[in-house]
Amino acid sequence: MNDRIFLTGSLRLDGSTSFGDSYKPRPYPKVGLSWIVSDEPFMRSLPFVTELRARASFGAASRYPTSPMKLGQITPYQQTIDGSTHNLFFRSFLGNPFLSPERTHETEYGVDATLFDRKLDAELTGWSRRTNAQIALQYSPQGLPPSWGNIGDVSGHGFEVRLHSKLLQVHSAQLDLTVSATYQTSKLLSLGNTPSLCNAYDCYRVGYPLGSLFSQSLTVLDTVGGHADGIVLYPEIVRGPSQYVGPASPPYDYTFAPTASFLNGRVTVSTIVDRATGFYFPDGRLYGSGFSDAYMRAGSSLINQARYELQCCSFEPGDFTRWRELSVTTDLPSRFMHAVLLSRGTISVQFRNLAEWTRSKLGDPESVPGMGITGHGSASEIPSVAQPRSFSLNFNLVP
Amino acid sequence: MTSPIEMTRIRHRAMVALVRMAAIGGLTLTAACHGLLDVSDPTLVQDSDIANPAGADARRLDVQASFEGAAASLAKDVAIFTDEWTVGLPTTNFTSDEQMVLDRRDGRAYEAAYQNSGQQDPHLGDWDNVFTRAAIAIPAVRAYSPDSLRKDFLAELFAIRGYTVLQIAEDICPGFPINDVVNNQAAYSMPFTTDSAVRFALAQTDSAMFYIKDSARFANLARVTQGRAYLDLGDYAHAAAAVASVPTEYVYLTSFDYNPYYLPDAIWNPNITYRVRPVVGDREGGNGLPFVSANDPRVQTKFRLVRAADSVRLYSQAKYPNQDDAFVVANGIEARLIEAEAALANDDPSWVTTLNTLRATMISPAMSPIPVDSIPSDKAGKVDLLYRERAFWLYLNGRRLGDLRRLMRNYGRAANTVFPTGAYPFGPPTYSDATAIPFVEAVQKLNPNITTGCTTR
Repeated sequence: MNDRIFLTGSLRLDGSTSFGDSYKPRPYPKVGLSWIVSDEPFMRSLPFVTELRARASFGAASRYPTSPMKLGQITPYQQTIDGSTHNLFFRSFLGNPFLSPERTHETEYGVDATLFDRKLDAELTGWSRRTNAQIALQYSPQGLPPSWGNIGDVSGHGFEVRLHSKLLQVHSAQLDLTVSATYQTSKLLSLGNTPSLCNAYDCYRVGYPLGSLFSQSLTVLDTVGGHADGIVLYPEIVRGPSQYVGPASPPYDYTFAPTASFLNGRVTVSTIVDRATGFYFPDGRLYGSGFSDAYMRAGSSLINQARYELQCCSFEPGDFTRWRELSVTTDLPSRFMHAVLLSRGTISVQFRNLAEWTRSKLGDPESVPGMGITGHGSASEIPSVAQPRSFSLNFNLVP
Repeated sequence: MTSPIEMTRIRHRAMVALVRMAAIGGLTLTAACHGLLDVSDPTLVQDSDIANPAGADARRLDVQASFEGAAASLAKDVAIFTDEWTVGLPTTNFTSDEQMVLDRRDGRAYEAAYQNSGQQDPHLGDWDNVFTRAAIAIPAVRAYSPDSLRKDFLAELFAIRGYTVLQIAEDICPGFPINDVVNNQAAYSMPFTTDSAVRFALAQTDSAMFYIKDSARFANLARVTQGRAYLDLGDYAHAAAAVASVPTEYVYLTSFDYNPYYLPDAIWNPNITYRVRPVVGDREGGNGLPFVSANDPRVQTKFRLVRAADSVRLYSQAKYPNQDDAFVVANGIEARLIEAEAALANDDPSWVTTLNTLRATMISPAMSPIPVDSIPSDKAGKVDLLYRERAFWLYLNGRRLGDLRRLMRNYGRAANTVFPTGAYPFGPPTYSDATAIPFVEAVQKLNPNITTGCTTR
């Protein structure tokens, strides 16, 4: 409409033999509306606005079950029987041939702005999502391995702010900076037939985010043996009611990514620093002999002894800042490239996971299974293997 | 105008392009259909990967390992629920500490303690887990085990299922499910009564006896299980017949390094915190047997400490003193005890002879015979004597709860004459009224066929 308002639409039909015979292909529509606000006459009085666009879209999509979800899993382990070590198998997950794709409807809205003669780009995006038949790990009846199921409905919302600025441009050098901030959360709306049960730490509980962590308050009555001896025994611990601690996945995520280029872009240095906050882990001091000793040592507080005794009820913030990447790229001399019959070549060195700052005593928070990766039930799989520090050297040669 | 030579070149180039396109298309289709594009994950084990004799054997041994682990560890619940064990040190957490509520036979508190814990039922769930693992292993053994071993392997798995179901029947309050797996899918069970579960166990052992070929270990396990099941049904003739061929020396010991009864000295060491361990009961709740003060060589104990609050001397069990001691799952002594009970039911005086033979031959040094003047003349007294002998011979074997419940069902005893009763030393003033281990609410929530808890307690 007047080259200022655009309406787009699409329709997608998904079907696959892996969905099972009972699944009927269903349509997934998408509709988008975009308005170039800066082209409107009333915006022309704002000279610092180079371009301003408002957008909104609605779409539906699906996530398909993986093969292990449908077929189940078999787990190997070793056991000594009659003096010999045997490799044994047991079915750790039942299959679920009736597992269907989860369906998500998402509304996204936002503003894209180019300001100050293209020196600053800004994107603001908000979204809300509702997922029906969410695929998640499902508890099975007594004595049966768990299985994956379509557990219920989940809502979620969030927003993202992204700013990109050309901070400096002098002679043949330029400094760009990209910063972004993201917030996201979810809420379990219904569980269908699945009961509100907990794993070691995290729960499906209606009204809370998926994979929420719950704890119990502990009270210590140091009375066993008839006197207070400063040593906490199991029966001296009184558990309180279950309390919500927080999410196991980070709701807040920040990225800081400056890029500097020199010699008219022939040399580029860029780096990325990430920060994630607002989530929790089981207290690392409960696990591993080194930290456990701190709780076990005579003289440690009664409540810490109780936490160690029960191996529960203590969580710590998982906040971390990670220097995720440093990259240096330079063009190879054109004379040399022509001598070897190539038109262009670059060489780049990339370092990953250079450093991390965190108060978590469990280890690298990002490596704990479940942190926004595998979801429910995995946060108990501790401890973890840290993200590897690595570097790579890349040549890009163009004939 | 294009010359004929040029036209030929154009045709040739078109033909070459067509051939190339056909080749690429054909290769793509071939790849798609013949696996080049297939994705495989080498870290995932699927049924097809272990569809062979070794895979079937790995599943069979998994059942054996989980069975022996359950038998060894779950007998602790039986011990604490009955008079074999009692809480040694008082707990302030009277209503939610598992050992406290089991020791006090407080079924409702036990259910409440687990109601919102999110944990699987700690007793029924572990047994049912063995049952379902066997359900998964049986088709694999049928399909892939070598002909020479298949029958014995099937007998083993059915014997284990029979033992498992019988233990559930004897330990858990009626109304419980025994969930199964059929074609790798969950099969939700209907609620069982004690009798229907005992008969279900008999059906499993019948299958074991049908398949048995050379394995004396599992043949005798199935026979002892059958004898126990017939006793539970009050069918003494069949009980005696079932165990007649079991040698007195037979013993099924756990075959892997696992002993939940191992008592590290942690709790007795003031520098280390550790869970409270139960102690050996001694006339617990009035009706309990004197497992300590009888000084019976069949129940080995070890003095630990004097409880400060009331100067009671506390003893831990010493039947399994070391971490690598094997647990007795079943033995020929139990077979003879079953025969003795059948004889007593038939007023056959050989029941005393059988008991004295065990005392003379199955422990070293030999125990003296039961004094003739201490043998009651009335039937009830004789039953008491027989069950006392069972309790000492089968101490910590997981039989005591089945025995006490059988005294109620088969011999008409009231619960408050067989279970610990009266004043409870800690917390709530008296023992409660449960006569079987409850199953927890999580069981009901997850199985749509289970709409109530214990139908009787």
